[in-house]
Amino acid sequence: MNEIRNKKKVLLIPLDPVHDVALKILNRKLKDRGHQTILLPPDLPLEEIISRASEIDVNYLLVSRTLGYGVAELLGKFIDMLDAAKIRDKAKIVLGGKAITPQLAAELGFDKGFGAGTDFEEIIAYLEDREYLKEKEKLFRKKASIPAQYNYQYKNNKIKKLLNEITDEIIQWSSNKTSPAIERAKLRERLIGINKDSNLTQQDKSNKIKLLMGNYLNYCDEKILQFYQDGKLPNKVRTLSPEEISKLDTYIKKEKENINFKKLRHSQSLPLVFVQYGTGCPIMDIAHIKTSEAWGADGVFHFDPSWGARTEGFLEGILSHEEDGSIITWENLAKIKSSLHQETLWTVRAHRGLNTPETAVLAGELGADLTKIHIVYGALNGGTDPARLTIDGIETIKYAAKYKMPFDEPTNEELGGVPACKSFAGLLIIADLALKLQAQPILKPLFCYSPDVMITGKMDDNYIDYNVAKINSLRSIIDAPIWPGEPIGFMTHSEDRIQSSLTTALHAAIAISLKVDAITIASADEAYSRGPISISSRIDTLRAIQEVFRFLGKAEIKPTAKAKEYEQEIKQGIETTLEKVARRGSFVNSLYEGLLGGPEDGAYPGLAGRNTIMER
Amino acid sequence: MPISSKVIGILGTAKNTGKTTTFNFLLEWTNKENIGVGLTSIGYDGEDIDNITGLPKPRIFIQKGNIIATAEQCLSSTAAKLETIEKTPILTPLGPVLIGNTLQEGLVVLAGPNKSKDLKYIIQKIKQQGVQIILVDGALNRMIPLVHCDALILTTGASRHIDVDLLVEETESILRVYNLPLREEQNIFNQEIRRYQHNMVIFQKNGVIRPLDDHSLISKKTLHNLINNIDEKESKEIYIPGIIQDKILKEMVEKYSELFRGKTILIDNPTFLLVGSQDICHLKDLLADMIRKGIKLKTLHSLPVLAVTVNPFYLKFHRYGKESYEADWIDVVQLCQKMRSRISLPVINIKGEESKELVMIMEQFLNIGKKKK
Repeated sequence: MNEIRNKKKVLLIPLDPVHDVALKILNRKLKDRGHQTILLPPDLPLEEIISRASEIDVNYLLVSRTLGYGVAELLGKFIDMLDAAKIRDKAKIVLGGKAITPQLAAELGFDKGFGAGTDFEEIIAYLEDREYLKEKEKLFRKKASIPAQYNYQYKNNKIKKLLNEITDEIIQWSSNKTSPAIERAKLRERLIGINKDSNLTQQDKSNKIKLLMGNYLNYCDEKILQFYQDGKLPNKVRTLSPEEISKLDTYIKKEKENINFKKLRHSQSLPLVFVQYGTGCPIMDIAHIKTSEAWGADGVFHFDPSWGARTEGFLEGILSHEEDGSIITWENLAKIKSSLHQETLWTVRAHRGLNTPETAVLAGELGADLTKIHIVYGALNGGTDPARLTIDGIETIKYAAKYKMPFDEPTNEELGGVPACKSFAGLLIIADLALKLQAQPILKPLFCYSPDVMITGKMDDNYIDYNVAKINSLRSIIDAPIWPGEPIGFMTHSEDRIQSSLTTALHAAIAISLKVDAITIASADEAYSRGPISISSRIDTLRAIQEVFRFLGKAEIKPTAKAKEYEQEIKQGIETTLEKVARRGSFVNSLYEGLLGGPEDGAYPGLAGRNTIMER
Repeated sequence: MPISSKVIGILGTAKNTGKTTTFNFLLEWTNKENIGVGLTSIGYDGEDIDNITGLPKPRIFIQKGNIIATAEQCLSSTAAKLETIEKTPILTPLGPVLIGNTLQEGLVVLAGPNKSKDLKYIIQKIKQQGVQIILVDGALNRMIPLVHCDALILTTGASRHIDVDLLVEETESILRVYNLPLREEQNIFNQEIRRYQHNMVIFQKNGVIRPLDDHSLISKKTLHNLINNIDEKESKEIYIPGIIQDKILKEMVEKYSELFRGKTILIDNPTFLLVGSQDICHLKDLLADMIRKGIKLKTLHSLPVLAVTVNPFYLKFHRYGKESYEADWIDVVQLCQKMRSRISLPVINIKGEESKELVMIMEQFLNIGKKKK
């Protein structure tokens, strides 16, 4: 109990014949705070109330009454009686009820008035002579560090040993190799350094930048060269006009001043809720970000276009893209960063393409909180050559460690058909690699209706058992943060917005019950939007999540006995997969040869960047 | 500079009886005649829309030099240019009450002290500004804070009852209460009474004083407690500092008339009887019954009513259907006629010709009539 020293004696008076619930709630809350309260029965005659009030010395009289015909006069008379009975000199008289405003409280003669929708905390603060801090100012939005409470200790020695063997080999294999992406990332670091250097003259700066950019272009594709050499932008890409940018800045400023945050979680502190943006246009992205923040999202994800992953090098400027995915440029990311509330977690995904290390440099330099890296998924389902992405991935993990960005590892190869046990083996390999490179990995198993479970029938009865088994199997192996994705309920959504919101909320219920660290949710139209997602669909799922937090509280969802069975099965599968990879003696070859997911699982080694690895 | 300013309270029997219209009439008159005026309200007046009905209300227009007392948050909706003389410690739901001087004419929103102790304090503060008259606008049917005024103007009308006979009967009763005889005896009890602001007291013929636990005569329990302490032969006066409920007083008069015969019930202020009464219309019958039975009812403080202003306007409430208010009027000529036939005080339709009569009454009250001629 949270008792306070300054205890008050409060008389609660339901003047209303029926509506006394608010006073009953307040009565309980005040008692919990250690105040002495007396709750009168509803609808007593005024004389009776005055008579009782004169018999006891109270500090406050809290009167509740909804306004109606003739009620103002009744309240006026009541106040007069309290005044004449000298109670007003000793106690403050407070009025609460529908349609009560400060003006009305003044007119009716009360000391204070509270209208419909008042936070009980505001009334309690008034009674305790404290200043009331609105939800908005209370900063329940507090940036959390997802890995903070984990020690990354293994609980399964056999798996620990296998992983150690595999990741030692990866580091050994990669030690003398580099790639165009790694060279660009190094140049990018130097370019940013020059721009920041206040000792250089403007002339010096442009000379140095020109030189470095010349070098940078040596490592770029035709598409990028055309832009820097002929000013030609790729198809469906345009630069925002100065007028559009100025309007955007005004919009950001206005939103920052007026934003009012809703609280998403109820009595829980976890999971954090993330949404993704990547509409193609920074303006639309920022509208989505501000809306998501206002409706309670803890963090946002930057999604880039799929062609970005297959293109060597980055463009420049504030660019809009007519299709899915917002183009990564320094300027686009900086603009988006400038729109974020200080407590919003920002993730820029770097995980799967030919610009992976450079993305981490941009994200890190611009102050992103998190990034996303997963070599296995990027190589098997993301279209990048396994050897190339392994080299780039290691470098990216190093950047993540340098910029103190924890990163999540999405096991989206499961969506192609890779069984959970194989994808988890890949997940753990990269996590172990990260730990050796002093980075902080976040495990991201999927909450999805995957092709594998469709075939094996593991979700024929319910969506709970197998998802619970996935989380518990990982927890039995390592003490690490877990963030189911991406988005939760993948493959259970339909084009029906209500169904979509509901399935997202139900999957969130499993996540809440399992006390995972974070979740990523889709908008209600994400799977079937056939174009940019709509703001209203965005709000649909945030509202649905808020409701499920309220519904579940600290209660838990109970899986059937099957969950335990599946958990053992997954663990066994992870071990078997890791044994095969270790026996093969080459992580990269294991990827090419399908040990972590092959054609029979819908996984195909990517071709982008093949044969581009260079000796250091 | 006359320092002994007089305080006029506008007491209404309900909302929309014409309090602010009467207030504005007096304000206009004082400004026209260059009479230094101070203004405040125990409610919330001067905004265009009513807080409860959502319908238009009379605005308040002040002139240069008018002294006002209003809550801090009202300044944002005030168009007149004001200079704050003092920020008082009196708090309202709209912030502390400020004393201000009008530098430039304009509309003002008034929300002053809303409890009696605070009004007393604010009146003193306004008096320090050397005004000749202080006008206090009432609120709803509220009466108690106005006990600190020197005189009242009673406003009533169709908003209280649309039945004119009932209205006349009630007005008669109210005026009868305000005409209760003042306790004029000078004896040892005069000083003693001041000590008993929170207890009923029985004064015995032999000079003994018996304080009781109760403060108000408000329940059967308090009545029985009083009866148990009364000495049929020795008790002389019973002082009740708080509320007197008509129902209990009636029971006392009807069931215990022998016990109270020849004794004086002394109340602090006529308003305290009114505020405790549920059936104001029949108070005059109760007072007549007391006289018949030889029970004296006196008041410690008097509060003269100078005039009655009437308003034929009322709001019809649509309870079913649209749940809203709609303006309507009763016959004002009939209202005034009936009122005058039963009441000796001037009855004034503030929007009619006879409003000049109110000016004469005020001049007389302020003792400035002769000077003007």
